[in-house]
Amino acid sequence: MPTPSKHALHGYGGKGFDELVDAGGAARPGSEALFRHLASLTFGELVDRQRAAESDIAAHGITFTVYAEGANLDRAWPMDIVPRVFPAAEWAVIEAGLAQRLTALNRFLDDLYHDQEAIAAGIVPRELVESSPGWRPECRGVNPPHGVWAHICGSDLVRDADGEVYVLEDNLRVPSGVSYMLENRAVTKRVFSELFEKQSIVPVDRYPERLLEMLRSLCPDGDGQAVVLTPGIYNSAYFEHSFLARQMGVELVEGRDLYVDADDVCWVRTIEGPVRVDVIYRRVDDAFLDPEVFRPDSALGAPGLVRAWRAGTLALANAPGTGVADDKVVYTYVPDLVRFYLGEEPILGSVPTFRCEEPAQLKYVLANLEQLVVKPANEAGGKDLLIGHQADQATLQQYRDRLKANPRAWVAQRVIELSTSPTVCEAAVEPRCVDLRPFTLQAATTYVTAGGLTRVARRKGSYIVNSSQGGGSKDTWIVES
Amino acid sequence: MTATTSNPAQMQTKTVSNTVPPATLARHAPTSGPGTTVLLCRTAYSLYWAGRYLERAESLARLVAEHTALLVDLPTSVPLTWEPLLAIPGVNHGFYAQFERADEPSIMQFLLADPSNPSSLYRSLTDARENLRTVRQVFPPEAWRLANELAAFVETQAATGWRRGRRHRLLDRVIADCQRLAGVVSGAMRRDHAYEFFAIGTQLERADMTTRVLDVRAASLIDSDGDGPASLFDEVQWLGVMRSLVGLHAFRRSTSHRVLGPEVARFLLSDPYFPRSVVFCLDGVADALSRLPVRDGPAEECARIRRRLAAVATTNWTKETIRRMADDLQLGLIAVDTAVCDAYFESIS
Repeated sequence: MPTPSKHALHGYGGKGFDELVDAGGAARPGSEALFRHLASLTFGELVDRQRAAESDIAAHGITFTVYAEGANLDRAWPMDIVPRVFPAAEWAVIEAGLAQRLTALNRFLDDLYHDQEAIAAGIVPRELVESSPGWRPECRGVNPPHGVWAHICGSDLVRDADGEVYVLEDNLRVPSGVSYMLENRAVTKRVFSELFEKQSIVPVDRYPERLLEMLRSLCPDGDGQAVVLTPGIYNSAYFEHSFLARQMGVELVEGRDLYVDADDVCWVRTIEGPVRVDVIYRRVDDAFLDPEVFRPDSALGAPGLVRAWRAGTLALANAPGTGVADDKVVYTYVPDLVRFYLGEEPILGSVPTFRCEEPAQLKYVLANLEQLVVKPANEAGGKDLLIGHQADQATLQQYRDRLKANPRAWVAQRVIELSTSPTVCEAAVEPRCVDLRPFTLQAATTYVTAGGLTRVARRKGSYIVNSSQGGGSKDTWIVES
Repeated sequence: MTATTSNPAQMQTKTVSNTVPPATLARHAPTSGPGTTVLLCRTAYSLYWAGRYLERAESLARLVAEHTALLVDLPTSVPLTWEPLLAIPGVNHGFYAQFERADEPSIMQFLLADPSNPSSLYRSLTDARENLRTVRQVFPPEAWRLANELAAFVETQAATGWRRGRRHRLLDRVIADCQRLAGVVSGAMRRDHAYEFFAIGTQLERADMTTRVLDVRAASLIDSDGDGPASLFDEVQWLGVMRSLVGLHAFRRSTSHRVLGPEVARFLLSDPYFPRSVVFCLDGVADALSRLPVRDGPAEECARIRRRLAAVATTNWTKETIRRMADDLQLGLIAVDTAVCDAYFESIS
């Protein structure tokens, strides 16, 4: 039964690591003010705030399209009103870890497309790299500005039952979510503004400016024409593409707005005739970017973009070919890559992962499937994920067959018991699993967002937080004490 | 009467051949208007259509509201049907493909709530939103929010909002929100090239609606003998025409004549001070074009209509002369639309 008059945190608690309260039910460091405020509200009052947030989101047209739900372009972005908190000191460590990791990954990408020292030194096997769907031999020998390939990275972080934060995925291709991070903060400010009165929460809204700065730094004279390239209105992240273009004050273009001439210069069609484009923040996947080089049937990009990029007349962010470092088998080598390129110990750990392509590891995985999570090595959005202990025998057998048929395409991990955060549910505030997607920008310098997008599973006990699979979200606070 | 025009509803990506760029290539746009950013052909195209659709929605709402009110004012002995509401937007054909009888519920459903009718209120507003969704970087956020909310509202009204008991609420909200939106655009949008395309779309659609109303309503009201003695109910109907174009107040300020055929026609076509007269709208289009590049084609088409309108003062208004004038003007407006597309949108459509 709903208990609107009970206070919002009445009876709150769960089994695992909770982001707001410790095992004894007391507020964690940094969360004290939030905890006190939630405890001063009734559940009914909190539900009112939740409803206010939902109407605010609908009115502002903050949308996220889920393909499985048909063509509804106006599906409201799901957001839970209770924020998720990191103390600033803890965040500083994560921030340093993210910067370190992306630096190593960019060194790795530049190395792969040039001298391949990491392969020569035996850190990463050549067959692994060359069998990755994200490997683009067409990119060999290209020198993108600053030697950086992945300019925008949206890592997925998870916190295990022991409280340790791990990198679950690096997402170096075209990660989404940063607009929702910004909008979540704006919504919280509008409908829950008193939360901001008594504490110091690091603002998140510098991101668009930093992004533009980073993009401009890829042009030779540091002040060229930058555009955002979107696959179009039916893309699930179209809202974000439009949002970022708007926030940066640059044009949002589609492939048909662009062309590349015989001198390898890229132009955009304007009402005054063609205008030169110097840098493209492209939100189109590698495969669809340029029919001259990749999929010849694609109309989402524009013919010649890669030609212009190779010629150095056009910068692409991210550069083509970053997907190879996103391969989840390659992921298992990242801690070694940090040591190899930087001579440092990784600040953030990776989730221990079994490489199914190694026979001994495959054998272990097949024998212990019920205790493991199995993932395809080259998919995004939680697609084809198996959570062993939640699957029936038929499904487990099906996965065993798939793993044996193509072991290179799979990895397995022990189950991370995702930490939880209080979430407004039907009858009470209940713990729901969360992860975190911070965004890191890298060119000449590196910038990490203050927090990121917290994604939240909406069903009890579920570990599925992916927005494309109906997951929700939360505003994320870095609180200075 | 031709059906109202529309842009290919969801412009989806087609393979575009690399057109040969004009001789003058700009490192940065040479005369990119009052600003530092460029205006994409596709963005201009969407703004133009958003302007048209929003204006279309408001004028259709006014037309239906006024017609509904008019029926109440007329005695049952005076024949007035709902069919003119199909003739004005030129959707008779589409209507009779779906319905057999032109009764009030069928026509209202079709005009206000039918997603398959490209001229319906429902579609005008949802198509306006789809166009604006792609140009949010150049459109005032508050105006986008109004357009987004209004489209969502009209979607919720599709099932029953067209019924007589609820219609007033639906139409009132549409008219009021379109006015709010116009107010935000007027008060907050930079007068750069993006604005000019929105304004051209709005003005062309407005001129189009005025000629359509004149064609269908006025022609049927004017006696073929010309200035025959007006019945009381003729005057009621003329008042309705003027109200549906928000022109009654303005008309009375412009002349001491009674609200009757020839004076109304003259006023709606050529009053230089009334914002919905054809001449006023055309001058608005010409004015916007004067601030745009490569404007010669569309500007010439505007001038051509302007010359045609010069005959207004000396025309003896009969059913025939009104029809002919309205037809000529509509062809002229289509020519402006085509010239605008040729000048600015050809490379992307």
